[in-house]
Amino acid sequence: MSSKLVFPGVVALSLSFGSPARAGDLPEAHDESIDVVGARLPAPADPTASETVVDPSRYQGEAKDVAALVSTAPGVAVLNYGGLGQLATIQIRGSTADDVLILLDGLPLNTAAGGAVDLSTIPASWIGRLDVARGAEGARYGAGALGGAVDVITRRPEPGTWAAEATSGSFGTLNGSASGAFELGRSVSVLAAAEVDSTRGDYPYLFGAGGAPQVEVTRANDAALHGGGILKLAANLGDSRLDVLAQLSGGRRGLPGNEYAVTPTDWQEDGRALLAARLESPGPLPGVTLSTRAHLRLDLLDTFVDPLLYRQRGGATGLDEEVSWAHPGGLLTVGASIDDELLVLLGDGPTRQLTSGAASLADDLDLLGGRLRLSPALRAEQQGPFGGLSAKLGARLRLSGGLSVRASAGSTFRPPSLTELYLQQGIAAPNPDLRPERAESIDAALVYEGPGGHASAGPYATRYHDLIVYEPTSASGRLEPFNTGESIAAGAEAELATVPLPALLGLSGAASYTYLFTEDLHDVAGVVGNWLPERPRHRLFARASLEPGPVAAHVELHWVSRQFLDLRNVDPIPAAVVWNAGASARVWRDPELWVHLEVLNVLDVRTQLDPLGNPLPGRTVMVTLRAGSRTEGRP
Amino acid sequence: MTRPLRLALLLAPLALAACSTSLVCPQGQVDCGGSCVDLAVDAAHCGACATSCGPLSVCTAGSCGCVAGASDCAGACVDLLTDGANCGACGAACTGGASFCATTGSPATTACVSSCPGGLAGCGSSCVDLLSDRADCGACGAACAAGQTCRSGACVSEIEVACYATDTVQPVDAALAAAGPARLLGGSPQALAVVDSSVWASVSYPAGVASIPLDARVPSSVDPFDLVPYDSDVEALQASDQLLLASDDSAQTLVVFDPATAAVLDSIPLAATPAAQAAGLFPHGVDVLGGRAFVALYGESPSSGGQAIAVVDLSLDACAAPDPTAPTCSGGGACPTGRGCIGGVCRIPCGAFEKQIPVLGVPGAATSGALPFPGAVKAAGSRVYVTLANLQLASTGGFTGYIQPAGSGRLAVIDTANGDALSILDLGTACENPGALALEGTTLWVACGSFSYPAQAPGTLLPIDVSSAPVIGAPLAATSIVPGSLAFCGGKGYVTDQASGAVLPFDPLARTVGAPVTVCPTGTYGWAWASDLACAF
Repeated sequence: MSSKLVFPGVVALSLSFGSPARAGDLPEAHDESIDVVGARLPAPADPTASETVVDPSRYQGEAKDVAALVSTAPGVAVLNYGGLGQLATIQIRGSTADDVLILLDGLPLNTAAGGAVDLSTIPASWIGRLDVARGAEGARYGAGALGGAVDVITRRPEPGTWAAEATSGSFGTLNGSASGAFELGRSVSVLAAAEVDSTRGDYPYLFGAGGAPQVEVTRANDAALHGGGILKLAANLGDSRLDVLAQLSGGRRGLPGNEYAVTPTDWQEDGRALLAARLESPGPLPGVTLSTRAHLRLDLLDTFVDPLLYRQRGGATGLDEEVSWAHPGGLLTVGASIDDELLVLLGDGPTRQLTSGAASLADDLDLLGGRLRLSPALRAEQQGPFGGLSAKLGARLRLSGGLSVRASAGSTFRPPSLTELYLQQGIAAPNPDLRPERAESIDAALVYEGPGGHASAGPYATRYHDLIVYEPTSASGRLEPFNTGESIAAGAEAELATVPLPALLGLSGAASYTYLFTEDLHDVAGVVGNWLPERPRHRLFARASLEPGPVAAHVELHWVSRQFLDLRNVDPIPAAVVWNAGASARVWRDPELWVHLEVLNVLDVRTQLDPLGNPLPGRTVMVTLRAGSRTEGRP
Repeated sequence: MTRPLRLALLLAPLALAACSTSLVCPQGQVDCGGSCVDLAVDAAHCGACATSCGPLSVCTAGSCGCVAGASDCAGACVDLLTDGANCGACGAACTGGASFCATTGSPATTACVSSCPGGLAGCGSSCVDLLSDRADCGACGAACAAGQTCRSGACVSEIEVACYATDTVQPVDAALAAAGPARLLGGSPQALAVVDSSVWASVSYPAGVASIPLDARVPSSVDPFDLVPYDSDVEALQASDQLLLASDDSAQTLVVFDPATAAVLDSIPLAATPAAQAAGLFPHGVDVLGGRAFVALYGESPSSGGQAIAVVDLSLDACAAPDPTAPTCSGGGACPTGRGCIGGVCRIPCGAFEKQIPVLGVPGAATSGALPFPGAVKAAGSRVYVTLANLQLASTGGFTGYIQPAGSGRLAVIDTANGDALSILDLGTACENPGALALEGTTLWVACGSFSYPAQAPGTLLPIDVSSAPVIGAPLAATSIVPGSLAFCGGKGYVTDQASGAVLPFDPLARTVGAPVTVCPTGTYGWAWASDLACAF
């Protein structure tokens, strides 16, 4: 918990123009921040984009996982498939979860196997910030970002700082994490962090079969254990800088199954190893910077669905080169990359290989004496047999009185995954004739930043083409993917962060709101023209905090309007209002020792369902003890 | 498109320009004004959208022609027996005081008359029986489609066939020719049942039940009624006392549904405890005998529940009676003793779980290493018959599960007159993987054959005389299809193909099999499945 809890997490657009964002940055690339009413806030990587920066330090001690952090941003819908430690994915602007890129320090975690990235496999304690970019962002992040992208930026090494945290909570939840940063010599900074999360997941829910009164039963085989470690190194080598990231994580979870057909013996194990290094050095000409990055990623995913065991292994390696030129009008960046990825289902078919290459060109122009900023970007990409272009043009015009206008348009594509193309998985068959999915997006926003805080609001629209949809293809229930999906998502997003009465016990507030209209544009009778499932029209997050001194309290509201589980719009999920609340107190000053109490779903709402229609946990109580080096500026 | 979207798109012209909906139609069909139609056979869109055929005409190969029994007089299809402008012969008009054309007497004579004889109504210049006349069925000018007959003033087909891949129910006549256009449902139909004047279908993607009036002239109800909060999977529908019993494969319950009020009256657990209920029972077939429902619990694996026959004591009269004072309740809310909370209303239960009769581990129920999967249920006399698919774990086409026949199929026989005594009947190697059951007289017919292993278990139809102790008869070869659902309509037998949209006719008396007839068209994604069929009356 920060003692300067001025803006709790959701950071809107910035007025200060920082360096352009580049896909593939290691953590130190995003080092800009802005001063707003006394708080140091990280700036968006691309101020012309529709982007929200989530600062996890604002939620320290609140037992929020990555999915919960991302859910504070507008345009984002988190899909939680169960309780703590279970699969969690996100949709952005009505996209599928598969069409959101998730990156860790700029390195895509989406694999050639396809499917959405499971956010529950990323330990929250490592995170320095989350950049949530909305819209077709392929030109910045690479193919696949149809709905948007989330770049999970790990914490930077800050020598002399350390932290340790232990949490105990409902349903047998135990979390522990520790981190520390130190110097090696004068030029090398190192961050080491580790986290272990476990839960029994045995939450009660109301079992509803039959006309007899519903009975409370306990979710079984829902335990999860996940952990990992990270090591970051930053070295100044004369005029050059070397950043190294090593990450190892893995875990196991039970797969509880449908509430009406529990699966007491099913499970899943995952593992990921990541090694990346980037060397940045001055170029041969003034203003030119050269950057080289290499990475290696290994993935493991074992799934046991009685009586079958699927064992998936993957590996990826890549090399990126980037040249940046700080010319008088802005910053021109040219990049090229090559990646190679392997995927194999052990005991079931050959090893599949996917070789990819990309070339990118981006500029970041300051015009009209710095009042207008233009950010054109183009990226040509070839993934296996599929090639395509991603383009983006963003602009931001600074008006008067703290106001500015931002607009952007982009287009991108997602090649079919190896699973969709070639792999038979249970009843899901492949289709080698698939084409890439495509999307075009456009958005605009009016942005205010001033003494009262900052806010932004504006419309957006994204048109999705050739979406890959699994359809039944035989009486035995087999499914096969086809490029039949066509849809549109449009609406408006707004976000607000304010300190209306800073003198009043440190009162602050934040909110994000999303209006989302979706329509199925190409489908069978009875479906065409309908809402897309699991896309509610309205989504609101609001938070108020008080921090008068060594104690603090907050309350949060998550409201989601009615939505449907199905394409035919006959299976509704009722609107849900969930309140969270928490309080914390500092019990020791140096080193700091805080005690946090967090209550999720305070009113014990039991009507929440996951995307498979299964119940989600009710009230959850977490107690956290957090110790760490003293923060500058704290009272 | 809604007004909020238009407002949003004012600032998104690119998206607006690209936004228009398009309908996906089954192969061979086109979008005519928002409906998918087959221009080759649709009388309302014959050869082209909105090109309709006139009365007593049929669309064949995209051209209009006269239905059987009608004559072509100057390009119009007329009934020479009743048409006042063509009374007995083309051009023989009834004029003056004898302006009506009627056919009366025995032998029948056709003549112009001054007024219609008793029992016949004057429609224009024709004297017709509104209860049976296809051109004036129920009312003057209310014509039936080709293949339909007029029964009691309603245009009905002989058989209704569920076409899973096209989300439709196709009415056909006794020769399996289309009897009117396919009727669109709100989902993929899986099981059919006829109650009164409607055919009810369980649909999936999503799941529920939907109704279609048997009279094709009455608009359909295309909105499925939900059975459970999420994606029910109704494997079987059974009409009983004007109610529908649905085995819900998702909620693992026996749902009682009132077609008259479109209300779910009860959702009866099929196990004694919630834990057993949630073990994966996967109820399939259901039938009623002596006020008790017998539900086949298919199960999934050795570790799941199921592989048993659930018995439910029904009290349908009590739960279906009008109950205007029933208190309301919220989901799972408290209700007075003797009532349960169903759909926000405290209803009188329609039944109670009595017991499960396990077949797993029963000697003879399956070969060693295989499992017995109860499928279809049929009551006859005092016995209840349940097919047991004798399946072993196998992989084919990348899919692994209990899908391969392990040997001869089995039939569980429950003798209700003898304390529900269970016996197992070995159906022999001519019937591997038994599926559907249907009763014709005292003969129980079993549809046999494997979708995934057709060479090992080819299609057969197995008759069993159940007039006393079951006696297995000689099987009928049905190798041209993978037998699916069975029904007897008008004394003729019909069985659907699990692997196509075809229906195979057979004669249960002569013990002969006809040629399969394609009833269900190929869907958008290149496949067809005639998933069930039901006699229309």
